[in-house]
Amino acid sequence: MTEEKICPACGKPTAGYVPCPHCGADPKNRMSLKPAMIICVIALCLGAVFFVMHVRTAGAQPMLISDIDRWQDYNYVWIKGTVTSGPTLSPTTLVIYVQDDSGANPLRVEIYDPAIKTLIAENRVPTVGADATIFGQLRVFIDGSMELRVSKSSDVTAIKTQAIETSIPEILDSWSTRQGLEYYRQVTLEATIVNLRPLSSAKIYTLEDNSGNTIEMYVHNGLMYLENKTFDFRLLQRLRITAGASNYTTTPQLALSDYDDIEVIDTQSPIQVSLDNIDSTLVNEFVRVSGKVMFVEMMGESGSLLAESYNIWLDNQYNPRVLLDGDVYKLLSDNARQQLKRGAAAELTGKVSRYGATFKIDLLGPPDLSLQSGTYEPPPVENVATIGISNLDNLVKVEGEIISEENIFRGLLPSDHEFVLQDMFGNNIKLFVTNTLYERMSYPPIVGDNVRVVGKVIQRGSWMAVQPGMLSDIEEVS
Amino acid sequence: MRPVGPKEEVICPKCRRYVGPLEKCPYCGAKVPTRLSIRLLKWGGLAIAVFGVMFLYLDLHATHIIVREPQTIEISEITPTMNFGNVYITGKATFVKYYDDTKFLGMFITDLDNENVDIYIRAYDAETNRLMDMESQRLAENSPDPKFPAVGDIVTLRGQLIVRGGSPEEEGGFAMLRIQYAEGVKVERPETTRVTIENLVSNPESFGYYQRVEIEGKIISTGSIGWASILTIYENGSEAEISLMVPNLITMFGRTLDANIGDRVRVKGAFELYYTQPQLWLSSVDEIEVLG
Repeated sequence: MTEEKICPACGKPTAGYVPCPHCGADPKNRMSLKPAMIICVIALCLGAVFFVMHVRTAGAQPMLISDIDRWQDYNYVWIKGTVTSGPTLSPTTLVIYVQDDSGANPLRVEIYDPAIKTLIAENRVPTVGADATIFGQLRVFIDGSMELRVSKSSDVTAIKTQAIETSIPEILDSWSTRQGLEYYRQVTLEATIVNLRPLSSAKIYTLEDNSGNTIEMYVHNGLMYLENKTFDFRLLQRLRITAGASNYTTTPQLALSDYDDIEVIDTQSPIQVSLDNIDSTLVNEFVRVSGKVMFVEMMGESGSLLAESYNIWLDNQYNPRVLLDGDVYKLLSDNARQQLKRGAAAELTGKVSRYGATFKIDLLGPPDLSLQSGTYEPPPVENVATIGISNLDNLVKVEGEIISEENIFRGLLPSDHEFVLQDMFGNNIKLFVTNTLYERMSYPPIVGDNVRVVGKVIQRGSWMAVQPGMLSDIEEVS
Repeated sequence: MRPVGPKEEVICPKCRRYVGPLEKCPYCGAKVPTRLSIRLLKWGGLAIAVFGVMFLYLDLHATHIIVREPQTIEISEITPTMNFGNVYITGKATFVKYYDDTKFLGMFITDLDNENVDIYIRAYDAETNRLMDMESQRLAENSPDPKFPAVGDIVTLRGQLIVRGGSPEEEGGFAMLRIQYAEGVKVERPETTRVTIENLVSNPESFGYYQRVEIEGKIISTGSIGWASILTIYENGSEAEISLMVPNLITMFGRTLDANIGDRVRVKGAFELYYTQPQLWLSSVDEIEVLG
C-alpha cells in the first residue's frame, strides 16, 4: 500500500492528484519558506538602515503656513519664514510671529522655558527680519487660530539680518509700497522721543524726525527679562535706534528687541517761554514753562470712575492749561503725585496745542515735571451772593454749612452730587462734586457739615456753583 | 480535517467517531475519557481567575497587599521613568484656565519648595465638569472648603504622569499630570493677610508670588480682556489703585459676581506682579464681599 498523499493546504487525501482535487492547491508552485524569510529580513534591514539614514541626513522640510488646516492639530512641522513681530517675553514664554511666502497671515510661535534661557544666553532670540526655521508642535484651534509650540532651543534657527540705515519717511514709504516680506527687517535710524503711551504690558513711544515725521516704537515690558536694565528714556532725547520694522494692524511700527540697541545722541532743548507768551507760533512746539499750581481739576472718564486726565492751572486762570493724561499721571513718581497740589511750584516740558480759541500745553510722557511743595489759597468769598455770571471759570474759596444734598443720576455709575452750601450771611450757592471725586472721598460731606471749598465757578441751571477739582479742595471745618 | 491528539481522547470509545476535545460524544452520548491535565487546566484556570478577581477586589477595598495608594512625590523629583505612573503631588497653583472649546481644565502648579519648578495639570471634560459641579454645590451650601482650584491655592492631586523628552527642567522635557479622579483633588486655600493697597503697590517686593492677601477698597472701573474681567480697586485715603483679575471661569459655578462700580468691597486674592505691575487674582465669587 502506497503512503496516502495529503494536501498540505487542506489536509485532505489527494490520492496523488496534483493539484489537490479538494482545494485546488498546487504544492509544486509553493515557494519554500526559508528563502522568503531571508528576503524579508534583508528587506527589513535595508529599510531600517535607509530610514535611519534619511532621518539623520534629511534637512528641514518646512510646510507652508497656508497649508495648515484643522487636521494638522498637534502635528509636528517645520516652518520657514521671516519674523514679522516680537519678541514678547514673559518668564515662561517667548512669542514671535513668522510669515512665509504663502500669503497666509503670520503664524504665532510660542517658545517655552527653559529653551528661552538658552536662546537668551546664546544671543539667538529671533528678532524682526530674521530668517527663521522652526520645528514645533502645531495647535489649530476651533476658531481657526493657530500657533506653533516649541520646547527645544535647537529647534529654532534664526539668521539675523544686517540692519540698514534708514529714516522714518523711508519706512513709511516702504510700508505703503511693500512687496512681500521685504518690509520686515532690522533698521537703524535717528529720531526724538516726543510721546509715550503706557500699556499694561508695553510702552509705546512716538518718535519724530527733524521734519516732523513720526513712527511708533513698541517696547515690550518683558524685555526686562533679557537683561537687568530699566528702560528709562526721557522726552526730547534724540536716539539712534536699531529695531525691527514691523507693524501693528495696518500701521508701521518699530519693534525693539534689546535695550542695548538704543543710543542717546543728545537731548533737545524745549523753547523756554513764559506762560503768557504762548501764542499760535508755538503750536506743536515743545515748550518749557514754569509757574505756581493754582488749581488741579481731575477729569473723570465717562464710563468709569477712573481719572481720564488732569487739568492744571498755572499762575492764573487765563494762562493756557496744562493737560496731563491719566495714564501719564501714573508714570509720575509717588512723590510727584503727592506734590501735585495747589501752591506747588511747577516746571514742565509740554507740547502746545490749540483748543478752539484757547491754547493748552499737553504734558506728554515720559513726563518731564518737577514740583516743589508750596501753598496757595484763592481769596475767600465770604458772601456767596456776590458770585455771579461774571465770575464764571474763576477760582474761588467759599465756606459754609451744607444744608441739602441731591444726587445727579449718572446711569449705571454712581451719582454726581450737588450740595447747597449756606454761608454765614444765609446766602446759598451750589457745590457740585463729580462722582469721580465723590467716590474717592474717605468721608464725603453730609448735610450739617461745615466745609471750606476751593473750586472753579460754574453754572448749574439757573444757579451758580463751585466745583472742586481734587480731594484736597474740600475740607471740613469745625 | 485530520484528527489531532491521542486517539483515546479524540475518538469516541463506543461509536469510534471523531469527537475532538468534547468530553461527551455528540453522536452517541458516551462519555469520552479526557486527560486529567486538560480538566485541571480548564477548571483550575477558571478558579484562579474567579479567586483572583475576588482577591483584587478585597485588596483594593481592604487589605492593600498589592494595590496600594500611589506614591506622593515632589514636582522636582519627576523623572522620565515615571511616565504613566500614578502619583500624588502637591503644589501651588499659579495658572488656572478653563478651555471653552474642549471643556478641559489646564493649570500649572509649582513645587512648594522651589517655585522655579512646575508641572502642567490637565483634567479632561468629564473630570472638569465633575469639579465644576462639586464647586457649584459647595457655593450653594456656603461651604468654606473649595473644590475647584484657583490661582494661589495649594492643591494636592492624584493622577497619571505623562513625561516626555526628559525631566521638566531639561530643555525639550515635558511633564503633565492627568487628573483621572475629580474627588481626589484636594484644594487648600491659604489664609489671607490683611494689607493695604498702598502697601501692595509701593512695596511689591515684600510679597511672595501668589501670596494670598485681603484688601478693602472701592471699585472704580471694570473692563474685559475676553477670558477675564479686570476690576480696578481704589483705596480711599492713600489714593492707591490695584487691578483685580476676575477669570470668567469663577462665574460658571452658579453664582455671578455681584459687585458694581462704586461698591466698597473686601477682596481676598492671590498677589502677582504682571511684569512690574502688581495685581490680584480672585479665587472665587465668595471671596469678594460688598460692604456698601
